[in-house]
Amino acid sequence: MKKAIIGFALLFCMQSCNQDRFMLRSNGSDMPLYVKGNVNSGVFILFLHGGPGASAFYDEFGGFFSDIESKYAVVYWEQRGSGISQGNAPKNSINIPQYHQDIDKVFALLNHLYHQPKIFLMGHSWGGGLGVSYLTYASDKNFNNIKGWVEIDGLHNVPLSFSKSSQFVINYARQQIQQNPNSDWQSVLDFYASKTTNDLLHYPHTDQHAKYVQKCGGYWYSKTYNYANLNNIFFSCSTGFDFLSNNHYIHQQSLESFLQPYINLAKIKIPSLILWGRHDGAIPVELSDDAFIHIGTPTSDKSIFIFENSAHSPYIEEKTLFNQKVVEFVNKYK
Amino acid sequence: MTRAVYLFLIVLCPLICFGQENKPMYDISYFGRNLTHAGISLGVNYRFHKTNKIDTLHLKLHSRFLSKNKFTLYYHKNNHLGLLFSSEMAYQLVFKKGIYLELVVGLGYLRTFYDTKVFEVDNKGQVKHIPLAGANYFAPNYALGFGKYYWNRKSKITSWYLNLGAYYMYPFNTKFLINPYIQSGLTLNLKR
Repeated sequence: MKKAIIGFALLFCMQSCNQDRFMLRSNGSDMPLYVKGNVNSGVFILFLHGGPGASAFYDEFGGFFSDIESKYAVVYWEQRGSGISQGNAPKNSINIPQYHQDIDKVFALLNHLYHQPKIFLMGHSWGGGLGVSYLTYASDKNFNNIKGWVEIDGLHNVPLSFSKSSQFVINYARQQIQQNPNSDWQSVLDFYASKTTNDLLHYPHTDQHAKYVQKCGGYWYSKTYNYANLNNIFFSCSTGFDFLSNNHYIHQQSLESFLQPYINLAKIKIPSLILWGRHDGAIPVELSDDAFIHIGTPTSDKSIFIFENSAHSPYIEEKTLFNQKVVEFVNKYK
Repeated sequence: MTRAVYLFLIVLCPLICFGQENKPMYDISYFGRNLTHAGISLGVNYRFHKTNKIDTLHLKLHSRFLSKNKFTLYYHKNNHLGLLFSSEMAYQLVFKKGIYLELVVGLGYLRTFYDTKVFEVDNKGQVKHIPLAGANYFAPNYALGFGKYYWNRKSKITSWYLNLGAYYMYPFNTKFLINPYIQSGLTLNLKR
């Protein structure tokens, strides 16, 4: 018994000494951060995960940014009430200004622990929208240590995104009906005929729309990744249930509907890289042009790249090429 | 914190003070959060009610009620160290040869300590380390299981059991978190 208690204590202390895994406590939420990769480079890429309500740690488990990590440090941050965040985030704290404040605190913490590193922001999907909203807000504060912005299939234009995504599903359904007039795809067309884009931003229609995008193959093109694998559930720092519990609540808040007022792409002046999957049905590829045109960065300092064999997550489907593009961008602007 | 402690105490006191008609039995078991995140649980059980044999199905069985008070320590790497105090009611259906089925319902208080350093940043951007940071939760639980009594042994071990259940963490990020667990151990009569 005594040995067991000492064993537990030792294990606890050993883990506590890991400097690269820590938490930020902010307004009721305890948000884990994991800094992985070449910390000595002095260049940190802060990854804003998707969702809303998904997880950066699950992407870390998958090792999708391993080539980036070999050169630079990647910061995996679980947003409030998302992923494996803990504590008791009040319901009224799930709003965009609070998210901005959280990112400010993440920066302050990184500056404190790593002595003013050069920071790049990289956001995927919902995180892409959150990233541009933060950069819009930060432009007024003249932050100097954000060296660049990487948007991956980002939700920077909510109405356009849902409009194009609906069209993606409708086109797919029409193709299916042409091939087989007796198929059940007519009900999908009926669903979109009875809904406006604004309706899709609210539950339960958001859920239904996401299911149709999934059914059309709008999330995965060349391969899929199962986040709910045995390793993630039984042998990781998550249990799977924490992710599901958090994800459900945050998603229900339908953050998409109040993200838009905080976004002004023209205010973004830092070097920017727009990365998109050609076959994305959730935030279709037309949004990449929208981002490229409207971001306020001079043309010489912004670029766009389309992954031909990817849908919504090119960093998973074309990992090697994706890592290469990001490393080239960071090399240039660090 | 306050909510969790009050809720726990309100229900714990009556359970502990329940009219116990029998000698205490001690309990030691493996506790696994999500099955794999290991811990150890120590407890004391009192049987407070036992029915006569129920013969309608010719199974020669009887039922019994027990109160169980447990202290559990478990460790989930890179997540938290958990200290769980729980008070449970167990209903057992005991068949001949001592094999039994069990239903457990309990209430508890869980204190977690994060398995990492926790920092707070004030409005001026000043960073402060929070020692022994964690959270407090009201933690009800339930479980189903089976086991076997050793009626005639002279050994101190009176039974073994295996339970599968779930405990809740409330409030957890405005909602609650459900945690499946497995518990398997031995019941001891130290005066045997």
